[in-house]
Amino acid sequence: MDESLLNAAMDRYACGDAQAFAALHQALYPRLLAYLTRMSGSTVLADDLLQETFLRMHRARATFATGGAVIPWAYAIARNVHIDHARSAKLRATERLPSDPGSEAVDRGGADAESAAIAAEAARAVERVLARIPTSQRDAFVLIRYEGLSVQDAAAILGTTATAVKLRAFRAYEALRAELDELKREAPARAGSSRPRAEGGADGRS
Amino acid sequence: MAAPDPISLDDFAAIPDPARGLGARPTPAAPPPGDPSPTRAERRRRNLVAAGFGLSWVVFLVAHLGLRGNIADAGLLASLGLWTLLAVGGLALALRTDARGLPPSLRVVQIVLLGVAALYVVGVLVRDATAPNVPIHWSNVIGCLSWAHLLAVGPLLVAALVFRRSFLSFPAWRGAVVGAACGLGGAIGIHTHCVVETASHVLVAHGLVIAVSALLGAALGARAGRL
Repeated sequence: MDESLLNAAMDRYACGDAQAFAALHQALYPRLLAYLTRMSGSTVLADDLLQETFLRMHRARATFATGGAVIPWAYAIARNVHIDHARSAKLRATERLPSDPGSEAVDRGGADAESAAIAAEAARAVERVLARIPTSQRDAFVLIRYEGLSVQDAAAILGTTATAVKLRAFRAYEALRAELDELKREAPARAGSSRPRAEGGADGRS
Repeated sequence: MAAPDPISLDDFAAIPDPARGLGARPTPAAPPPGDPSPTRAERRRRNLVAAGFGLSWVVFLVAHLGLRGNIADAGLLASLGLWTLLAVGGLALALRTDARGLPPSLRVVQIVLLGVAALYVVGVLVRDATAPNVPIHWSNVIGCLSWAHLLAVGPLLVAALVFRRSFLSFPAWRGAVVGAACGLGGAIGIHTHCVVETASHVLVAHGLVIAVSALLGAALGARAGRL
């Protein structure tokens, strides 16, 4: 749905038009689910947090500014829901659940087994780094890279300046880049060390 | 010529998305939640009632205490006017939204909070230059201090209800600005009654309520202000 239509739907909802909720839910559900999954590391938990996000949007619909943008507003609420969950569960801010959507979510269509394995390994590496880096950097990177928000919107959601958001996202990017480069360097070495063993095993069986 | 930005966001696309398969999940249909939720018009009405109550609280208590004799003094009226503008302007700046309907950054809120406190102190010091010196003493502080807090507590409690679950980010800081504005209401109220203009008396007996209310506002904001 076009963003201006979505904003208009939220405006109508804030004024009491209950019918507008369906359009909002349809448009925001996949985006917020993906965001909360990236932040929490679990699709099951993300589903619960998403219900809470829509409930808070409903309760606070009157606070939505006339002519405002619903997407960053909804992301800000989803982020608050995640923060509250992390606090209530007494989790450290950088701690994430052990499930790994990356390994299941990689699109294997048309790729051979080796490239699929490499992609899965890269996805797991990204998950590991996102879990390790400070929350402020993860927030900034996820909002800009995966959610496709502008730096200005991400800054408004995080309550900071555009420059600070860019810097945080870039630091996260550097950490991710370093991890992926390391993975690339290790891959030929691992392939080299595993191939003779595999060949040796085949020779042994024959 | 502007220097090229060393941070390029284009490179971010090279980082794979570990959750990209989630987009394929079907979106279930969902009715709106059944919880009661005010509409914009209802919220506006509620805010007006709350503002009216807060103002009436201060006016009623000041009327009970009685206005000071020199209330019509031009310098005094200028000070009271400046502080009223500070309270209203500070609230407006900290709670306004940008063109996308999003709140200002934390830095703006912090500057507003510091600005309100600093301008109040400057106003007090300017008035002190022409005021007779009254030594500060517990006996002449306790009355003003108590009344100033009583004046501020009404608007603060009303604000706590109005701003419950309404701050998108940094609820403690935004709550502190709201609290400071309520405290300034208390300080203005007691200043319309008490004739002492000595800086030490005004800062402690009239002005301390601003800091206390800001702290209370921060605590209330952190506890119940987050949307």
